[in-house]
Amino acid sequence: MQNAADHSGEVEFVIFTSGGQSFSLDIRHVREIRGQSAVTPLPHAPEEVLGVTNLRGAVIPVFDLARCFALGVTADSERNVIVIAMNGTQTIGLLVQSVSEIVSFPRADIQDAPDMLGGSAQSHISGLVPLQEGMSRVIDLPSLIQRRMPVPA
Amino acid sequence: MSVRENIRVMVVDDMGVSRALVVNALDEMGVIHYSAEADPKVALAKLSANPVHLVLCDMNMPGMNGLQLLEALRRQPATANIGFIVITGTPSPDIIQKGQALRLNNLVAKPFDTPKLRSAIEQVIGKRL
Amino acid sequence: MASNESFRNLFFEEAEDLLASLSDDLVRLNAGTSDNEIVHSIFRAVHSIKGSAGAFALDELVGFAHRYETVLDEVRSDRLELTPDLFRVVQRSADHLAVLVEAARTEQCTDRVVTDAALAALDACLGSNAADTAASSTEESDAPEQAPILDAPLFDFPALSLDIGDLMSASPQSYDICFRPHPALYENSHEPAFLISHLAELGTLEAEVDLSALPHWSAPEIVQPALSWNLRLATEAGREAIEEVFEFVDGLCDLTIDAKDDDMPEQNTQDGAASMSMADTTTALLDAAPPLLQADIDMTEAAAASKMPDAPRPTLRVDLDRIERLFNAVGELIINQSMIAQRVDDLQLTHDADMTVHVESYRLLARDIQEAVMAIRAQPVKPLFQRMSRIVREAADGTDKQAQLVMIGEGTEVDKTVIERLADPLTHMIRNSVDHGLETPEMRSANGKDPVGTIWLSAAHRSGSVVITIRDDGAGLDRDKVLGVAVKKGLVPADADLSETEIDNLIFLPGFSTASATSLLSGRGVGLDVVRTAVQSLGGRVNIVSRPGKGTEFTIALPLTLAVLDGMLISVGNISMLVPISAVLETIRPMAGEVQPVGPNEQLLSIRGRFVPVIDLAANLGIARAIDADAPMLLLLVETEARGTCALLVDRVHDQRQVVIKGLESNYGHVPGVSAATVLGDGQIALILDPDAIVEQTHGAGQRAVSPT
Repeated sequence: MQNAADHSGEVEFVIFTSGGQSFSLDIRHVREIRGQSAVTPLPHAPEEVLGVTNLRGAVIPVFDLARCFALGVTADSERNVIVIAMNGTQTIGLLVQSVSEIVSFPRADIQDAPDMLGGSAQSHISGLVPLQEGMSRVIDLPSLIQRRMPVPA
Repeated sequence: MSVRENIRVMVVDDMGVSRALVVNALDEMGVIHYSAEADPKVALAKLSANPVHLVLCDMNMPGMNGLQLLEALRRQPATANIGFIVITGTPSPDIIQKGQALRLNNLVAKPFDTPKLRSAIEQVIGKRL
Repeated sequence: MASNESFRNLFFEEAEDLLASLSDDLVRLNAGTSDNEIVHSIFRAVHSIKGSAGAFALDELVGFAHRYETVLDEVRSDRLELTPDLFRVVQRSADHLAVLVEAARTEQCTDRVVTDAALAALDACLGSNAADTAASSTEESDAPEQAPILDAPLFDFPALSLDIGDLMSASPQSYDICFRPHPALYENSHEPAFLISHLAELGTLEAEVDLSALPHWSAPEIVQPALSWNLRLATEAGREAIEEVFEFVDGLCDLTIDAKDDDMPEQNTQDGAASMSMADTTTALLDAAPPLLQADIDMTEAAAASKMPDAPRPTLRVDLDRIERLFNAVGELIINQSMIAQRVDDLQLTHDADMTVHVESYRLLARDIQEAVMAIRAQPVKPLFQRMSRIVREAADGTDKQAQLVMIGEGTEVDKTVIERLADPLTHMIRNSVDHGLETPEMRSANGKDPVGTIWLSAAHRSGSVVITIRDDGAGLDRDKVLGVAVKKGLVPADADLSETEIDNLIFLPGFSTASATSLLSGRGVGLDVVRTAVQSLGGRVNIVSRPGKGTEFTIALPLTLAVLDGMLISVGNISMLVPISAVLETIRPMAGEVQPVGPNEQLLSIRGRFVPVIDLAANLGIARAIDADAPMLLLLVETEARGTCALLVDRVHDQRQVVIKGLESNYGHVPGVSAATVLGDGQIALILDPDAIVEQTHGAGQRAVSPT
């Protein structure tokens, strides 16, 4: 997601909680944050794909981030929000429990994800950033989405 | 002011591409005052009302060909002395002969490039652009 | 210099137009209304293509156009008689020219052999009687652009007899402009300095500020703007251009524009003396300066001529992206409109007559805008049809058959995308008609038919769709043979009892058409199943009607646009979905006993003596049903291309409505059984089902509706 060779400057992250864990997404991927809106389920979709929702006339898929990381199902709650993210020309929504803050980190502070992480966690996390209370997982958005998209017709 | 900033030119060609190419060449030469017409009859009307120094004209056009436009211009005192260059893909002896009779000032064969068009214009106006 | 992509695009757009008019002219010539003007017009089209193509170094195209033009020149100057044979060559050459233009556009290589053959045919026409005139052009035909005659001019062209500098100083018109802004001008955020700098762009401007109205500095306060400007502009642009500068401050200022030299065109004196005296009074006019008086007559004539009824209507070429944007915005508007309508409805504001009226006029306005925008994308099918007439000639040549194409309703307008995506299937069907539909001339004669077969290609609007038919007067389908092939290939069981229509429709099955079943021409590895798939992907359907000995007719019904869809709103579970109305036959609440289980999971509906398979949509889509399994069934009878009639089991059928189609592909991807989505009035997304895909995935094994015996 970020250029490893470029350690200068700062990167801004949107920090949010999903499945009880902290995740972060490069703010350049984030278009907006919305409350949970009606989602129409899609037939034959993977379980983490909740369905599609209407974003000002565009039809966008919504993923349950917790399920993407095998952290169970995000329970219905009024506090749930959908993070609208852009991956190239693709717009998608990520259902999360809550968004906490936007934090700026020097590039050098972003650590590589340790190899010991297994399964879905390793493949969709590009790094770790330190927070006051622990750390947050930096989501590798292209990798997260790609696996879940159906093959083009 | 230099000649290229003074000279007023009209491009007449029914094909948009050809017009665009001639206009592009004029731009490259630094000619500022030019207009382009698709319809030779409209061109005649505009030239009659507001003559220019030089007309760069296609030969084959519906309704009126280049030499017919030239003839019409030569017939009116107001436009009789306008410089006239025919741009044609088929420069036949016939065109040259008829053109000569109508005091055609020059003839450029398609395809042309900017230097070729420039030298044709310079031959007519007798000056460097 | 001609490398610029926009020039290239312009060239191909114009070449396309010219080829279309060329094709028109050929039809007129063919119809026997041959006159020199038509030949002249054909010549001009070819010449124009050649002329522009030269700038893009399209040598093969230029070379061919040159030879073609030479032949046409012989014809128009009556040195060559337009015999039927020659007409054929002229026609084929137009076809080949179109092929070369297309090849140039797609930057594909052409078969030089074909071009050489076409050139040879043209040369043969020139023959010996035209040898004298053609000789020179034939010699240089491979490099016509190198006209040696001009590199060394044969004579001196006269030099220009005008003096540039003089003419320049004489020609601009001077205007005295008095501009006095009102307070409102400033209040509307207009800036005099901005207007004045605009004026300065038109020519040479002298500006003088009139301070006379300015109150004395000791005056208590300045309430009124007091500045005005006296401007003198020398420009060639004319009064209109000046007025244009002040267009947006009209009524916000006092403005007078006086032409300094009083030679307005309205002064229509024909008197030479008057023009003389006028020239005297004006100081800077030269001989060559505009003596408008003499020119007036010619001008009106010319202006009248340019407004002849046959003059093409002015058009505007617009970047497709901009239209897409407008199109999307209108889609949003329609959705927004239906949301508001629904909301107003929910609020039960029926007592508010005003509101009802406003909502209704909003609806009508939105539909008007939608239709107008659709009309922008609509294009006549004519160019497509004209291409087909080329295909017919090619196909006939390739199969030693004689065929003519008759076009009907080619002015019918259809969405641009539909036209583009129709080209391939239509080409295939036309080839098929010539190849398999028409008989050889000998067979036709033997059967008392005209040796020349006819293919009718027609387009017409029919209730929200466009219907295209391809009809031939050939032999019709040989049903025994078709059934035989289908059985041999295992597409139907040997003991299948099929109706005539069902047999006819077998030719659309994948795997029906193979190399052995097709001639050299159609043996391109594609069958009519490809046609059917292509038409279906456009939301249309294709049907066949065949009469032995009389001919075959294919009918393609397509939506007018790919942007909206008429659908039946249904729900399964708690989820709303749309079924395209084009597929829906009827809704049925079956009586007890009319639906019978077959095997563990299958059910059949008995309707009017036929059994049709029942497809449980909820199970198919993996949705939990909202209604008890014991509740009365509600079935939607749909027509599918692959499996004939099927019944979809749904929970509720709501209403029929027009919806804006929203793709799923760009943000997600293809969803099995679903063609697209739409946004409903409440803002929710509803999926648009694809009945054919649903039926296909349910009946992978291939079950067909069968007639009870």
